[in-house]
Amino acid sequence: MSLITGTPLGNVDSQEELYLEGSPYIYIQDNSANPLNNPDGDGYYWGMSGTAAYPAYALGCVSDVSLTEDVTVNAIRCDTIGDKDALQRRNYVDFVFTLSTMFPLTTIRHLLGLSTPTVGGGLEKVGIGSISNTRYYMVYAPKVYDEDTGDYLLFHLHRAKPVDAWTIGMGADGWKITGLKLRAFADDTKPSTQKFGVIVRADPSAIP
Amino acid sequence: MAKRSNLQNINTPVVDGELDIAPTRVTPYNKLIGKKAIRSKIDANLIVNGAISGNRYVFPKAGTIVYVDERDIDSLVSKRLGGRSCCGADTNANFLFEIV
Repeated sequence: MSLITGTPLGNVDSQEELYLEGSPYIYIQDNSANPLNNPDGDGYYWGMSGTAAYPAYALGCVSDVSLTEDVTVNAIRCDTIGDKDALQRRNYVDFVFTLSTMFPLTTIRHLLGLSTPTVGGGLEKVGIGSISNTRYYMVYAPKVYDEDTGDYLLFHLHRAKPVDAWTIGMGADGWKITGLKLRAFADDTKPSTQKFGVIVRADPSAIP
Repeated sequence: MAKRSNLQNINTPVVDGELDIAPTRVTPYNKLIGKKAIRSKIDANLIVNGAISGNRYVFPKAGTIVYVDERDIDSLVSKRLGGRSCCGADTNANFLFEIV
């Protein structure tokens, strides 16, 4: 309930009394595949559809999930009055998380930059070699925030790759892979207003 | 001047039946008898053995199609990678192959 005293007059938009908790599920897929909506009726590119050639991978037990961006800020500084403006450029968007599920290796090898695995005879073998710098992924992260109605929020990033060093912690409190970072770069095959990705919220009771 | 031979006396061949284009021969060694195509769904170099035939099948990457002995189909399409799926995954996840 807003303050009766001191509120602005006129057209005022307020935020919703709705609080979210818990992380989204995270899925990755080779971005050689097309998103499920390519585009949808409103021109947005989002969603994921796994194929035999390009399967989608569901990441298991994720924790400490955050989404952040990197921005370059260049100040326009005048010697007369100081900064007049700040010009900003978004460089990338990072999905950062910790993963507690290790298997199968055919899934985590995409996050750890390992070689194509060989599977058979009860064995799964993967090599720790050079990191491929030519492979990019779509990242799709849906979060159902109202389980009664199925209302959800999702994040879709077009062109991401795992960056930075990972650590596999082998403690008594459970193995965890930390330092995982999926960095989404601009995809200039998409419209400029959504070149990094798309956020979609579905809530028919609150959105006309 | 040499006597010319009587060309009318030479036996000319007689064609039995009507003239027609030679029928296409079936080359049985190229026919996939008793084989069915299955496709790999896992992005890995899969090496599996047929449960009935014992044949070794190799699928170098996801989407690879290989013709396998149809007696091996049931065992191959029921193969899964990994145990119990985690965290909201589809119960049909991680099957290695699908029938084309």
